[in-house]
Amino acid sequence: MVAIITERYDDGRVKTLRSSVALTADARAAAEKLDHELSNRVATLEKGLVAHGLLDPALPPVGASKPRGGAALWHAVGTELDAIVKEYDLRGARERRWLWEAINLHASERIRRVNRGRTRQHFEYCYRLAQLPLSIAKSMFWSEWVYFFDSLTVREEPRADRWLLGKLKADAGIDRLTFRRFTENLNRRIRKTDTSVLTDDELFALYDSIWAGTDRPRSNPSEHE
Amino acid sequence: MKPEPETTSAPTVNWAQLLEQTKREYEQPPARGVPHGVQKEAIQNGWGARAGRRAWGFSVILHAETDGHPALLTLTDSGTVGLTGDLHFNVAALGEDENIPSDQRLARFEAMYESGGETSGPGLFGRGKLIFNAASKKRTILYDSRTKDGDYRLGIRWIRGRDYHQLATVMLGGEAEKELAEQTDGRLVPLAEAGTRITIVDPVDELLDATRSGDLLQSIEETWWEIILKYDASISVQVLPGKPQRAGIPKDFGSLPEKSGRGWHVVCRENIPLRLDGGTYRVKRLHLLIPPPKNSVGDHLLGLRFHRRGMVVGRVNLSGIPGEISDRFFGYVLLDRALEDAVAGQEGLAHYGITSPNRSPYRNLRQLCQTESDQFLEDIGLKRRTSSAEERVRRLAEDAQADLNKILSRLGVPGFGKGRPKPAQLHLSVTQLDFPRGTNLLTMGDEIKSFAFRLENATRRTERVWWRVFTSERDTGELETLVARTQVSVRAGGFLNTEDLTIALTSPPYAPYTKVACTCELTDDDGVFLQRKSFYFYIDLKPEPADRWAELRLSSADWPRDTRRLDYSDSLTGIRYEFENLSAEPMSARLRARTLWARESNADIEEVGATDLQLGPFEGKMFECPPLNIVREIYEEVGGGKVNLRCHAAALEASALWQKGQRLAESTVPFFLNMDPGYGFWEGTDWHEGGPSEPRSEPRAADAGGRTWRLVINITHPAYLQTEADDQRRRDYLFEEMARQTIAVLLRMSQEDALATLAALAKSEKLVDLSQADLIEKVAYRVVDQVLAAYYAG
Repeated sequence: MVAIITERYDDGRVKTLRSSVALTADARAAAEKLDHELSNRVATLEKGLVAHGLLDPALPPVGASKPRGGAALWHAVGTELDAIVKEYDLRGARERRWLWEAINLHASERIRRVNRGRTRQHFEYCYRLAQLPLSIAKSMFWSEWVYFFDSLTVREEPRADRWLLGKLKADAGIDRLTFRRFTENLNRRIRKTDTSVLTDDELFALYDSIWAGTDRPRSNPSEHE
Repeated sequence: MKPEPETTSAPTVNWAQLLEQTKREYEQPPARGVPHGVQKEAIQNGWGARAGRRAWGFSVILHAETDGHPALLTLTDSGTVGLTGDLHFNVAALGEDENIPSDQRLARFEAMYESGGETSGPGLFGRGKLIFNAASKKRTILYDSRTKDGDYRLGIRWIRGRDYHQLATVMLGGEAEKELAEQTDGRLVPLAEAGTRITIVDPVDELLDATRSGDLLQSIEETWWEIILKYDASISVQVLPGKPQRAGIPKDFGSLPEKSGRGWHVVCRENIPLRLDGGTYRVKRLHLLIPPPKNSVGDHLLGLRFHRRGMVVGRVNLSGIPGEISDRFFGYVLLDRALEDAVAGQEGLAHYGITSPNRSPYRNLRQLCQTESDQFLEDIGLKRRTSSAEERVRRLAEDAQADLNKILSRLGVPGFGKGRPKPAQLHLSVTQLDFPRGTNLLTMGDEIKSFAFRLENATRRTERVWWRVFTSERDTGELETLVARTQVSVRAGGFLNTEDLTIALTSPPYAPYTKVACTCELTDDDGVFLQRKSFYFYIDLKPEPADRWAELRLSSADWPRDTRRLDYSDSLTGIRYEFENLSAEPMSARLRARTLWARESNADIEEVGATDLQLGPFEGKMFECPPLNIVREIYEEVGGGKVNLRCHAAALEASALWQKGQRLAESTVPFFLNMDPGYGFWEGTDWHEGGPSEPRSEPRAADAGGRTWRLVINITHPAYLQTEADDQRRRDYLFEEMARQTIAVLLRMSQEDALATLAALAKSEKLVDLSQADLIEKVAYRVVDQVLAAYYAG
């Protein structure tokens, strides 16, 4: 039940207001207010990240290559995004999609990332990562998380995060390579499955069987280099 | 002794008509018009006459008209041997199969239909020379030449009225120089070095325009880039008093990279053997390229081209190039000399394509190129890898379908949405089917008891049809009649079951080791086939493995307008899906219909409806989906463009054949938000085992609105079975069936205008007034011929 501004002209006029309900004068006013709020929150967030040493104080030029950023950085971003989502009661992936577009209007080049389409939004991945404890998030590189969230089956199945949390908590020694292989196996195995018809137990049993079938490397290859 | 009757050595030829005919040949696709033909013929003559290692060159120069003297276009080759040979070579003394010797270049140039069996250049028929006269408003050309021995020669050829004229003997030396100056108002001077010049006197306007606009230079680059690249051949076009423009490699080719990188996808294969009955040939090089999306490739460079002796001849018609790269995909194929010569025998007179693409060796070449192209596209993820025979056939059908959609679009046939909506239909299904032991693997003595066929009337009126139920086997034909042909009446929205039926497997008529179909067939009062539904069982024979266990299709929907366009506030109502279990197992499934944003990797927009269905073996049921309402607030982020209405069925229970959650079937019907639809006609192919007496194929409406259609192929028809060993043949077969059925569909959709245009009917000829014979001859045959011509010409 919210309206969100997702695009602005250079002169400040609003091009689009996204809303899950018919736009009333009140909804427009609320959207403008949220937009202002986001502007402040994102600026504050970036300052905080710089203060904690997670972000470079210098702004990279538009289009220049940027540091990839670690899981800790994006977890911190996701935590703030999660707070906004809860505060404004944004229910569903579609409303979140609008929120990420709105935040893109205010974020600096330091935390914005290239547009990979509406199903692969950077801020959505940050938001999902923040659903996991920081210690777990940091156990993998950001690239592994992106690989995992990119998976169609994971994207459409929010319970995947819950299962993963349990798995990573139970097995602290999971290495990156195994995690990547698991994601590959997951994609292969349930590519043609609609997991929404499975109960939690059935879904988790399925994930478990894929996990069990994932080969673990005998040792980390980098240790031999 | 009877006296010999008086004879003439040759009938009178109307040369003006012959010239017109030549011109038409160059104007008819795949040829590209007179200017393109002029450069192609002139340069191939010059390239074929090059003298050893001497620097070869070719120039086109346009001399403007002067007071009272027409413009001149000269086509000059240098570094060649010139028009050598005897002044009075006796061509008449040669035998029927003898060519004019290759050193008698003057005689070859002056004779018609003589190319002299050229081995170093691409000239073949000796007919292209006429194009130069055809390119002259005065139908006149001069040809002068400095031979390698230093002789200077000048000839003139002109066509007046019906007659052909040529100097009886070329002029020589000073006389030739004087005549040249006179004929050209002094604008041309004799050639200083060995070579030949053809001068088109008073060129036709299209040639003048092409020369001045740069189109001629572009045509040269497109045709001759191979010799420019390999030999640094110098070819230039000059419009006096301007400077010469030298032809280069087409810019769209980039640097013709041989490896992928920097956004290019490339494969370059060399020395690929091509085995034919007559021996082994070699494809010297096959180079396929896809530049990055931001690069565009000109229409005339797109696709795969085959070359001969350095010249681009024509296109190798490849199927299944995905739409997203079809405006960038290009490449070329170079053949070894023996293969070039073998393929040359199939070239058209104007050297722009192949006249008999289904014959060897071109056919084999095309197949090789298709295989390599498929492999390339699979490697870069643009085409699905085919793991099974079924999948391979399905892909062939997809390729054929994409090709046909493109051709129909090009020919101006409207895509979906232009036809009148077809009302909802009758639905036929088997019900209460319960196999002994839960499997359709039966044995003699078994009985299938108490099943029925169910006819559901989704129309808005009572329907009267005839039904009949029988069993059949592929080789034996019909085995047993379970319900004789009976008329039945079903009220609107109602249904009717046949009486409970039983099949007892006793001999006769049943026999072990056979696959039997049990079919219910609907016909109208005249016995015209309406539809059928079958289920199968195997007697003491292991069932064939299936590649799918269910089918889901949009059976009807009430679109607000004649297209699949939906705007804000529109509703799509009456959405009915038909879900059919194709297996012998009971099936429990959840059907979910959603809208997906096509451009954004099918991002979810909203769920339209869902239901759970339980089906017996081979049973079909309907899913009445709630209306799809285009609520502005929901669809505003899409703005406009393609949206997919997708319904899928996921298994709610595991069986021996599938897992719980497995997607059993899917139906995707695109619609277009706030815009008119793009092009599309055939949406897919289905397969059925109809046996030799059933038609090879038939069309079936995919959405019950008559907007998109699916082709049903009879995979047990002998004609289809004949294509089994050859993918290319099978692809062509599927294409031809689709092309043929297109006519049937257009007729059913009452597309009179489209058909009349395609068949080039006179305005006075109305489709409805044509007799059946004329409809077949003047419309059906003509349209199919046109579509097939476009397909095989590439």
